[in-house]
Amino acid sequence: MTGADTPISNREFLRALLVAVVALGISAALVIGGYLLAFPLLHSEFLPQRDSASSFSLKGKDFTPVVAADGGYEGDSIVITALAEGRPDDQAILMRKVRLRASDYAFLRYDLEGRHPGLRVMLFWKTVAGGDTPHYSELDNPGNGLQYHNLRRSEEWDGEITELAIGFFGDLRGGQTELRGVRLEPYGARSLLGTIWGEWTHFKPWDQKSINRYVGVSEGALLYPTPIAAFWLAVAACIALGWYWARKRMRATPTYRLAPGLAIITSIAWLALHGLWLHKLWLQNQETRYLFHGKSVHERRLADWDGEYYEFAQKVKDALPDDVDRLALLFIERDMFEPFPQRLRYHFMPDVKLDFIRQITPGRVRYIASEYSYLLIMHNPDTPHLDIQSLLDEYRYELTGNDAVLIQNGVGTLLRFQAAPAKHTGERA
Amino acid sequence: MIVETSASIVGIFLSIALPWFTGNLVSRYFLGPGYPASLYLGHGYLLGNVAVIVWMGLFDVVGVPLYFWPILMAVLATGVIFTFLVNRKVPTHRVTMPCPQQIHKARLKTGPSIAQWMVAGLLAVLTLIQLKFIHDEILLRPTFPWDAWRGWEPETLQHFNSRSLSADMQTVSNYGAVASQVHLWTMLAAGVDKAAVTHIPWLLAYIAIGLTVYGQLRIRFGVLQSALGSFACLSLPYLMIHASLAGYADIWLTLAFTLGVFSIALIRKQGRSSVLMLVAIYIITTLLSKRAGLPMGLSLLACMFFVLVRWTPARAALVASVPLFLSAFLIATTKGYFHLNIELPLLGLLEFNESYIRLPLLSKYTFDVSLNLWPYVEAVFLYANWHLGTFLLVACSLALVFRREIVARVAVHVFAMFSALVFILGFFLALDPDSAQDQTALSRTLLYLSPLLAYTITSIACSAFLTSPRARDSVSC
Repeated sequence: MTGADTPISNREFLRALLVAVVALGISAALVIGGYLLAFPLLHSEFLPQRDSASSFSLKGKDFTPVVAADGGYEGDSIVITALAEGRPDDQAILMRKVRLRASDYAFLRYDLEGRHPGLRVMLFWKTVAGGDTPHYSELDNPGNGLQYHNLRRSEEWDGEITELAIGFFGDLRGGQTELRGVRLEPYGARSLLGTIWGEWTHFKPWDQKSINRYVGVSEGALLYPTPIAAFWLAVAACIALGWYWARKRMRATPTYRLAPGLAIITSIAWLALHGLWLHKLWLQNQETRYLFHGKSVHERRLADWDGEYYEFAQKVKDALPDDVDRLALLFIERDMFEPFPQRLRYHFMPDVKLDFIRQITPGRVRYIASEYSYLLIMHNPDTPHLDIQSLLDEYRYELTGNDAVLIQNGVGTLLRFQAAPAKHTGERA
Repeated sequence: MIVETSASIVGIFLSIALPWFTGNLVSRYFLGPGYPASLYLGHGYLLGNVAVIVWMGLFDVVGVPLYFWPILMAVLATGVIFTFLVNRKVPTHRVTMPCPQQIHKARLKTGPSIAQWMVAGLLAVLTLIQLKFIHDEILLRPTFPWDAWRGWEPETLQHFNSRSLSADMQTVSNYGAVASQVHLWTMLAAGVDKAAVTHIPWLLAYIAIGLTVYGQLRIRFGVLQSALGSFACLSLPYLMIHASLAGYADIWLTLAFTLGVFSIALIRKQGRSSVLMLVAIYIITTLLSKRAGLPMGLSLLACMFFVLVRWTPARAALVASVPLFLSAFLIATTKGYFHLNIELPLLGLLEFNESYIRLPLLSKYTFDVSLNLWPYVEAVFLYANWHLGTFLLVACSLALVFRREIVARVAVHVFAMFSALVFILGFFLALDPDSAQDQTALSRTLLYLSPLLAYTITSIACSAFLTSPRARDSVSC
């Protein structure tokens, strides 16, 4: 690095850094202060309808487990050490009967340990008007400890609340989760800022939408960090320019003397956003390492988001004779075309080509029975236990004595048609 | 490095190093001498892969099975030929422009200050952290992105299995050769098909983008300013996502388009014929990347036209009337006054009527006009895709108003972004508003402009503020 083209001394740099930090500090105070002043005017729905509304606290021990495999109370907390089996996820639900007005409370403050991306946490509630129908709102995952949640994110947070529950879904990953307490809070600056920070630091692992855009906040967040950072930067830049102007150095100093201060202000604002991003990337790195590090290719695929489909594909491959390199797949409901049949096709590659993927119809069953030796029928993941005989009866195909169900599990069924010709002709139905 | 034990490390290393070496020489040959090494390296990575793709295509055409070593030898031979050409070529258009760093070097005796070292150190550390995260993601995670496992990778697996570019089972129509054949090349090198290490080119494409932006800025600015610009580009979250979740072709199209625009920006300084050849390679590469490469290739053509034409008021008026004429034609056609139906030789049918447009070799697009601009605001200003990039571009545009001498320096880059945006907006507003509304494709097409965004911001800011008046006066590039 030559650096000689940037005519700035250490002293100048430190002075510019000081100006930048002060300007950004003042700017932050103005932006946050202005937002807090404007918020009640912009979002009156957050304000309690009664002046007497005060916060409502519950300790962990105040909840009763209604669904959980194992756990207990520890001091004021409730600890869950195992989840009850459930579909689509294992779960635990802690419930508490209450009587309170939803309009009094805008935020939920909760204290929770043992969170990780494999465990989703939801707030459930029932209302007088809704009867036994539970409403729910998923809590963001900004990490462990004290966090806030915007109750107004859900339109159903309304009326007389009769029951509150915290639900845990997914996997404890060998650990435990501890609920220390929750507190329903009326609108307040601290809870508002805590909620926004939680929405900005919320972490969700990669999903198939991640490649489409990076929003940077949880769904339903109050504010996007990017325009706020831009506004913060703009105000700070104005303050710095004003400072230069006030000292009447504008005319005496060449234009480029302004540059270090503005460059540092811009860089700090950029790095602040980048810090949020790198924090998420770091959490993602931990999650990726947890899932895949130190594992063979086979184990990584089992640990991937569709591991059970990969496992099913391996079982089918093992069950097929060596000379069978083509398969047909029929799925039951129209919306099942994506993604799992396509994932199965990928998992079969390159040994077996899944070159016929369609929704099941009587004609297609007959076509496959005549053109293929083997058929995969993919189940609806929500109704995995399928009576294959009844299904084929429904599609007017009668299993012969030589036809056989080779594999059947929650993913699908592998059928062998003995009467079919050995070779596939390539003709399509 | 976390690599599956079955993959050949030596093969992977050679599959990267030799094409990159060859591409570096190709870029030196076409660009000429005198540019920063990082710029050659940035060009070199893509050109090396283009050389591999060309050789694989030639092998396949003549019926030679695709094996790693013969193709590697062919690429190496190409490198040897270009070594000879580079050493033989008389630099008729050597870069004569004095660069500011040279001026300052002569003027200032002092070395970099502690503050500059600190900033450079911070950028280096952050860049290494980013590379580490992307590296881990690429080498640990099995193929993740939807279009990869759904579309083109099943075909690539067939190519690998059959050692040819034919596939019995067609699974894709939206992707061209670049991403899939770069991936195939790494599979051939590794000797395995589904290993995560075969996605390593995506990390290298990301690095190549950083090198390219750094090198192009370095032509005019100092190390620190160039490093800031390059870091600004490499720190863009959405670019990092496309490197981390390896498999999509968008990062390749981004690299090709960026290199094309940067090459066009050098046309006036360098011998036209050689750089034009380079631009032609990049136009073809964009077209071969995926369908979205067509508007990017057309943007590059428009840029070239913009640079090569000697502008007179009459010509400017004539060219300015073209979009108006096209708009009038478009409106008249969609209203049903015209029908276009032309059978283009070798390409197919070009059809344009009030209901749809059919582009030869591509697809039929039905008109579905929607003027809801909110998704564009979200993708550009609200989402965290680009950090503060788009806001800074707006601020820098204001600087152009006050410092009009800077306009000429970034005119090509701004024109490229503008022309690409016209195509992007035209496509989403008139043909496919759904994929803009649901945010499945909009940010992805804007990704192609992200290195230009970082370059343009840095270039304008440095020209306006950071460069001293004396250096400004002496820089004419």
